[in-house]
Amino acid sequence: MDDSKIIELYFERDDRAIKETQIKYGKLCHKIAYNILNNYEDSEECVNDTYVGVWNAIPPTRPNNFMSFVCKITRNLSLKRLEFMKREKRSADVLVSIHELEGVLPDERYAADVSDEDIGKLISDFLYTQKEDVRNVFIRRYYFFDSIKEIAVEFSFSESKVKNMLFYTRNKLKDYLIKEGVEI
Amino acid sequence: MKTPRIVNAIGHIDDDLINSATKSKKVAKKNIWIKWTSLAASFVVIIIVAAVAVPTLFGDGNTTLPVVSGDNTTINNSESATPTTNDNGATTAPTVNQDTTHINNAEPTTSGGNDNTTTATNNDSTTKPVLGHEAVLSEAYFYNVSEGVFSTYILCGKVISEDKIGSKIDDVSVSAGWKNNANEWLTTETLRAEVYLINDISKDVAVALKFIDKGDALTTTHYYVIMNPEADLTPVKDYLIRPLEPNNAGDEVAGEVVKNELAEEYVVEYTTQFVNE
Repeated sequence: MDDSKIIELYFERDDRAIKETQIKYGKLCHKIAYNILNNYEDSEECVNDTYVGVWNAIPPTRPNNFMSFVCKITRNLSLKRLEFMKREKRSADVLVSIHELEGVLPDERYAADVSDEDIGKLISDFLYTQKEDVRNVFIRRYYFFDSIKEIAVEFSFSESKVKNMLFYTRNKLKDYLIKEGVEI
Repeated sequence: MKTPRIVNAIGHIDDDLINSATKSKKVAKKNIWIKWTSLAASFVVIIIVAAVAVPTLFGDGNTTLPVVSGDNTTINNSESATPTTNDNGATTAPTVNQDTTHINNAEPTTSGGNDNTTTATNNDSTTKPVLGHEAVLSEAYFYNVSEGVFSTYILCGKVISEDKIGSKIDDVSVSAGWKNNANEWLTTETLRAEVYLINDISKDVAVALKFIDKGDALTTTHYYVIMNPEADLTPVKDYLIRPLEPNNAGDEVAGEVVKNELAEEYVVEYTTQFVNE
């Protein structure tokens, strides 16, 4: 079903909206949650919470991009759950990803009065200046938390190439954020 | 653990970027096998083209005479040449006696490795090219067995290596010496030689001579092939210094040595390969 029709179902408060969302984006949501939580049951719960979140958000929100809207909700819920869970249950892979990202812009180096939304916009601007494959690899790693191996398979790159791409992109992003004055 | 802010910040990147990343298609994997096969094929093509265009790169190792050009070129080397072994085990005879040989060349020549460019004497008093070879010698060294069954054999084969030599079958006396263009003996000498069988070759077709006495243009260490011009020389065609050429334009030899096609001209031509070192 087309995204706009699914959104219309939400606006009509038709519970087929959740069913259609599950059919179309359930697998993607589950993958994001599993990448972060590394646990099937926790992931399933997060995905279910995602449907509830979407149901509560629409209406009044009418997302322009329904897919990314759903993914964002899943990602945020999964990260919140990750904070809540004990350390030993966390995925080693997502921890590596988070640690890599933290190196780009540690919390203590955030400039004052800069919001996460501002940083997100700057990161978007930066990514638009990168090559498409570099950009997509970066997002797959740090937004969807895909493993290096999965990305390598998906893009037909070697794992070392993926690691190199991410390394250089992180460094460039760090320089960009310093230049923009959001990292002190 | 608190989630770093930048992780949350990335959650706010543009929807289009997220869309693009989820819809990214697999990049067609570069096929290494195709890449290397193409490279190898290109290399083979280059080699073939080079082989056709520059045959000297793929010579059979036969000794060739120096390329000469212009009229009345005189090769004047006091150093003697050493026989060389080629791919099929046969060895070419030392090149011309460079102290005495004069090459009269009407036109510039080119030397090809497979072509065994050689020089030849003429039986006529006038100088003319012989069988496609532009270089013509004014003097050449000849030898033949003085008497016995091998006296009719001619010297048109290569010097061959010892591993192709069979048992000794005879001792003979050989008349040798230099001839001029008019087929007149300039010098003569009589040499003792041993006759050896060549492996897998009938003595009625060809035998090898090993000289006991060193001649003016012959060594005592090499085996010189002489052949029966009346025999079918197909079994020893590899030992010919150069494949026979058709006697008449339009004839095709096709790798076969046709019996009785050994013209005197041919003999004369290749005689000059057997000169001293």
